[in-house]
Amino acid sequence: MSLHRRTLPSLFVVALTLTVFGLEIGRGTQAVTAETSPASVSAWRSASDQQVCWFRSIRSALPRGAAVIVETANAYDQQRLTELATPWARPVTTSGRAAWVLTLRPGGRCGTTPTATRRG
Amino acid sequence: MADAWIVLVAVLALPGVLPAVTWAGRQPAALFLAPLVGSVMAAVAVEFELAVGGSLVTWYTVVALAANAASLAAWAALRRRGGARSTRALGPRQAPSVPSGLPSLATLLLLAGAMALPVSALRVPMIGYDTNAIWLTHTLLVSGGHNVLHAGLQNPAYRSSNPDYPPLVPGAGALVLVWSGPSQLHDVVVLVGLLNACALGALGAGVAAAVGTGSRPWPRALATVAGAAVSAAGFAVGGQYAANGYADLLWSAAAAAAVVWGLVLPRSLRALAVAWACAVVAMLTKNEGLVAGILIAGLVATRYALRPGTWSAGRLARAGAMVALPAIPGVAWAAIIRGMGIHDSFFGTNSAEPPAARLVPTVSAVGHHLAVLPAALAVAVVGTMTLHARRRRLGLAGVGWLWLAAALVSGAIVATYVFGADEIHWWLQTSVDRTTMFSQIALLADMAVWTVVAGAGAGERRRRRLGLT
Repeated sequence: MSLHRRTLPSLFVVALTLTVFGLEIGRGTQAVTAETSPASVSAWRSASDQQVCWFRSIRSALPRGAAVIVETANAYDQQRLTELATPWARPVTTSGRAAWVLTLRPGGRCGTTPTATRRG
Repeated sequence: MADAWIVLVAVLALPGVLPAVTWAGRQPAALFLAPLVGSVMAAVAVEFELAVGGSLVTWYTVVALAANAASLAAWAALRRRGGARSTRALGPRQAPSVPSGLPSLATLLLLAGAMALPVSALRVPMIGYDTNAIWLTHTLLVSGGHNVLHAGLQNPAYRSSNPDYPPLVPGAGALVLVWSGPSQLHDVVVLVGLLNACALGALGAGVAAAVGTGSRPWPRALATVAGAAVSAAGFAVGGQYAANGYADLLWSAAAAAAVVWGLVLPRSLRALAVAWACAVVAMLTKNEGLVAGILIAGLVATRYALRPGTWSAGRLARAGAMVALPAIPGVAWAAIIRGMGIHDSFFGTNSAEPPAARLVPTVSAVGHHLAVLPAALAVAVVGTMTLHARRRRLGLAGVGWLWLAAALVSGAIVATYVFGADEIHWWLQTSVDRTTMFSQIALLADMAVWTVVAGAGAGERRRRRLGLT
């Protein structure tokens, strides 16, 4: 009798869990499918290639250990240039302590390319 | 992507495998645990790099050698005592299941297979906003050695990168850059994704182990499927953050694994060791993980060291030590950082909004992301009312422990939003989908455990009719 009393609740637990997990895993599968679509892969590859290009451009434009101030219109670009200059250069926040200014210029080998200018 | 796999296996898992097997035993969880143990060693190496000097690689070698020497000594000591101590139950109930041979291999393959699809997304070179702004920046600082790291964390230019964040991802990430070159930043993202899979694997292995060693094939198969399902569902909870280098899924999955091993499975040294290892991963990954890990370690200590009617100074001291021991690496980082005068940005200034005005949108946003709560509650209530005896027979802890852990961690996160400094709507919009991952995964794990309990009765009637039980 007690086994009968446990059979239905057991089925309920298994069925509800299967439903929730099915929905969750289905949602995850859709997300992965979208992330791995050719359009998504292409867009992310372009962004990644540009990031690697910025990384190398900064190292060819700035001397090692240079005190540099990053000046961009976009806060995210500023963060990324600061990141990619690390640990090659020494980012500073006040222009008085900077020997170099790092900016982004349209064109160049990266599409939009980091450019370093020595301060007078 | 291949470079990240090589680092995961050769640089993190290989030095981590002896400590993982010594303490967790030869079971599926140990394989997932080994790279996580290696990443903990990397985090500890960053602490030495920052506090003492030198480079990450030097300290990682020292820490890995020391951890392996200690594990070897512990392994020899355990062997001298007959090798049974680590599997000994620490209480009246049975030790956790340690499947061996073919069932163990099947569990391993099913858990890994369940995560194959989400892991495949790592071949897309996605890099998230915080991944650039925080994790890769810190990784590059760590790779620069002591002087760069020490000066960088105090440099106002890096203030927006949250310099106080713990060092596990930057430490493991910097080891990838040593291997693949400093420009290969996406390899760090891949490594974080693989560590996510390891943490979810440890969680899934814990759910699969809930069925116990003496179970028949069908309940065991159902338990393995439940473990694999919770690993796959955990990845789904992570969404885009599972594959774009964010650290939120890592601490959340590790903390949920700590809950299952420490607060659900029967008491044993092995279960305790896995729970502690997972809690340490959470504590060294993010500040939320540090709080969650300490809370979980506190609950685990309460469950293991304190029992009703047996409170004494000695037991309280033992419980305190059980919280302090796993907390050492995470608290050490916080102490080093505070010692350098670095504070987190969340409580730096007073908010213009009063706490009461922040509470309503916070609870609303958190609730919106806990859509699994009603279903998990229904399963927990029905399970407790009807399957409690079967759960006890499996040696599992009462369901209250897991729910208490989820409630405490959620409460701490809500309190952070309510008493923090950032504008609340912007803050919630940019983070609540990540800060609620732990609670979502913990509740899914609870549902999976109840399914294992329900399935453990499969064939019970027939066997009883035939007089087999």
